[in-house]
Amino acid sequence: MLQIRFHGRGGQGVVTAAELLSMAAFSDGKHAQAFPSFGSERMGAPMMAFCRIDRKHIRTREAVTNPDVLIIQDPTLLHQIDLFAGLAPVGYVLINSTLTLEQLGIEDFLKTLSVDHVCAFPASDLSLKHLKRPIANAPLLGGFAAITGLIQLGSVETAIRQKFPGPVGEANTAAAREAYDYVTTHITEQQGVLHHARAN
Amino acid sequence: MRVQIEGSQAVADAVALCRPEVIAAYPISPQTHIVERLSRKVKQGDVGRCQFLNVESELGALSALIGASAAGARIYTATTSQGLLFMAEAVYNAAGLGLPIVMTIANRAIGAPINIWNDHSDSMALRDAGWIQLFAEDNQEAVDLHIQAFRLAEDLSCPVMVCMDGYILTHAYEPVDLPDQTLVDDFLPPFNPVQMLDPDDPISIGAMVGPEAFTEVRYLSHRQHLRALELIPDLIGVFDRHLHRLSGGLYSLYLMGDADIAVIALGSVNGTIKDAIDELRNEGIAVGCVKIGCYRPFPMQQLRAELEGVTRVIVVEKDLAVGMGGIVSADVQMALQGLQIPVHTVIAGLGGRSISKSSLKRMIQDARAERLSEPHFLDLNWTAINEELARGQDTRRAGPVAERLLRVIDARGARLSEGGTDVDSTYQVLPDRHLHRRNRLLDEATQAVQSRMDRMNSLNSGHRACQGCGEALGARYAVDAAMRASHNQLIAINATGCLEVFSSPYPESSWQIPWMHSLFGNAPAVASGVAAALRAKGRDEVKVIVQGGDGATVDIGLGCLSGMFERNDDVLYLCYDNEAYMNTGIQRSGSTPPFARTNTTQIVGDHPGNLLGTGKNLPHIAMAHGIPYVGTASVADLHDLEEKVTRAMGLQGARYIHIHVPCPLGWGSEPAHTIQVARLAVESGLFPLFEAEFGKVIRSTPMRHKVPVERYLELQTRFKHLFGPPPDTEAIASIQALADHNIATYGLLG
Repeated sequence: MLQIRFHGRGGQGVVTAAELLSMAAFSDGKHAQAFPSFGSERMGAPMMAFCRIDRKHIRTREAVTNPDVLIIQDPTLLHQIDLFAGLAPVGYVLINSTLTLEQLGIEDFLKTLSVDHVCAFPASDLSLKHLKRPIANAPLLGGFAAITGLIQLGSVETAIRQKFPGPVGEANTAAAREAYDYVTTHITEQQGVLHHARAN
Repeated sequence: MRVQIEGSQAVADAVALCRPEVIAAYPISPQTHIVERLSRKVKQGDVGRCQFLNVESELGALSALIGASAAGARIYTATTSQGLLFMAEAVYNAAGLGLPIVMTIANRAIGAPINIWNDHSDSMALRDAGWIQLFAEDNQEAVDLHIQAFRLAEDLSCPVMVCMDGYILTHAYEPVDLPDQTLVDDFLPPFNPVQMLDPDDPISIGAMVGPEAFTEVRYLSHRQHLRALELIPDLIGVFDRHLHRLSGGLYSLYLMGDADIAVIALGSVNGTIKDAIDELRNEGIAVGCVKIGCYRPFPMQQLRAELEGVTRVIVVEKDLAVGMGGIVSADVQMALQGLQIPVHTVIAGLGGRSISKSSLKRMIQDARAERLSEPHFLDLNWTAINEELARGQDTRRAGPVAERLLRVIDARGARLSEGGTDVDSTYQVLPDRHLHRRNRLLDEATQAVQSRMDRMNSLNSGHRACQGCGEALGARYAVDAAMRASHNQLIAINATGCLEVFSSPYPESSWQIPWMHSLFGNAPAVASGVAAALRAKGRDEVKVIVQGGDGATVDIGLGCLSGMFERNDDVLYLCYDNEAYMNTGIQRSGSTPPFARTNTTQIVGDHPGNLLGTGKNLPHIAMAHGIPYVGTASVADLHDLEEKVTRAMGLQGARYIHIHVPCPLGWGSEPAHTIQVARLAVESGLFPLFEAEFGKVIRSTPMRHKVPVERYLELQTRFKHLFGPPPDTEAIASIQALADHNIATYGLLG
């Protein structure tokens, strides 16, 4: 079972991101469960959402405390709460930021992870470009498809169109596609670095 | 059709498939998504001639349905927690009248301390009210149980609660198979009431029964429930024949064939329990579980037969009988009376604490080793408990225990380290900022309280309101002015709502004044009590205010408010009107303006948005009580607002101020436009500023210039549909007519 934890703030579409991912997994023929760690939070308050994906029926209802994938939609949370708590040592991390991991000051948290499992990329910029709004969930899901390879980009697009029919859905799928390409390029480069390092 | 869908939406779709004729609902988290979707479906015309009533309280919701059911309609509502308790009298009444009402309970804890997360305290509190109670393990079962519930209710003439875990199920996306309409129609024939209000066959319903027959009436209710114990297992087969799925039943077993240990639970935690059992089975421990699907009636004989072979029973329950232990486990122990089987009570998942597989495994292993206390509280934070108990030995000072407990937990960082608790937000309260401004043009007497360095800042910064929150601003303006007028001798009572939620929770509070929250609908009465106690203690210098949003004021709390008014209790009531239930996620209130989009007045159907000609004018209702002072104010006019609060504070008796406060989230306006939007409401005449004494308007604040209502409406996406394409000129004209009426009535143009 693959467990994903999303971190963001109220109003950024974090809950929707988890829901969309579950819908994408469902259209991929998998079992999926998505739910928020809901509070009485207002816009801007830190919050989480969870998604589980499996080949068999998912029964558990507990919160995701040991995620395989972390999707950090708001980088301002990085040094405020323990985002990396319970992250699997071979897990994946996606961060919505224009800064590098060094600039974000989080290299220590990611030491055990393979460099091609981690990517900080400007998801909000992609959303601003395609949607004119900084709701970065769709590009992060495109990035998820690229970095994990565990879900088809086409399924992400299907889920987005299903939830947001019409122009909003099209703009979101365009943002997801561009994010997919961006992250694919990034991890290919990282794999090259890895390969080079091993060769030496 | 199998779809990936949110639990609430799936249940709403299932209810619609059952062809209800009247739905009445009052918003409360986490029930809202269910009724929002149903309101949309009804408005779209997807549910036949079904009527959807946005009522003023939960008592109103169930009462409306009692009437509708007695008039022969198939009916539905959903609620939870405080809402279920608020309708408690009607809950018993519906059962006593034998009305086949189906109600979803999106299970949630009961306060105080207020808590919106899941446990089963609400359903348990009303377990003996005469309703059948079914509990769903997952959203597929929730869908199926609703369809079964209508049939069961109508076959037995008995109301049914379908209980599903709040958030855990209501807000979870997972695969659900939604049946076709024809299959549901085959399973569920049209409602044929046993008795109904009908001129063709006049009967009296609900008359008194004396001691000579009351016991017999109750016995027959009990018999009806015993019949349900026979009907419910049969329904599994009937449902399967029509809808091709095995679902429902009194209980279900998992790996119980050779089990030594049986775990018993209700609801969604059974999924996690099964995962834990699978892992323990791999370790050679013979454990199974019994999911109780029907809690009332309680399948006592059936459970006894299933459990006779085990050596140990563990009941995991999301509720607590304070001073006693488990509620479900007491029932289980009664079922096992005389058998030498130890029954452990485990209290778990209270107030939304996540129940983890690892904790459940440890619990089962501890039970085997006789290490469980009785009752056992799963994942209890003993550090915090012991610290608080030790502290309590040193002081007699009473008060809410929750705040101190939270301080201990925050100090110890236990939120992260405790097995069962989630990662939670941490935050910093910003230091109080004093804005120094010089060269003021106004003399000291006419300066705004807000402009003064020595103002109280009663609602301190660092709270959790959204950006651009009009209510936060209005509350600070009003309370600071009230503090100044009372020489800082002020006590505030707060109804449930956004203001209450964003200014707390424990251990933080943004209030620099004595402040208390009790319930949603009772704040004016609580304030009356505070005022009475102050009088009894001779503390006349201390003044009392109440704060509530429009929902608390014009809807659910109106009865208590009217009582406070007519007794002329010495209390100032401040209503912050943002024109809908924003705390629960933007549902219509009695203060929502015509045509506005909310989640229960969506922009579908022939009359998109809220209906013209509905809603109430609370300042006028207040005036009709003849109280000493009624005023209206806006966050856009600080001086006017402060003057009114100051004037009201100078008077004795019941006083009321209605303050217009934009909500960027609910109105779809830019956070930066809050003041502009509020000002345009005043300048267009839609929100007239006036004052009344003893029922008569004595003064109105003239408008500087009149602006067309479009200027106000176009800044808010809740009115976007009026601007087309094509524009709804008729609707805009009728809103303009309302504004013109106000301008004429209050002489706003001088």
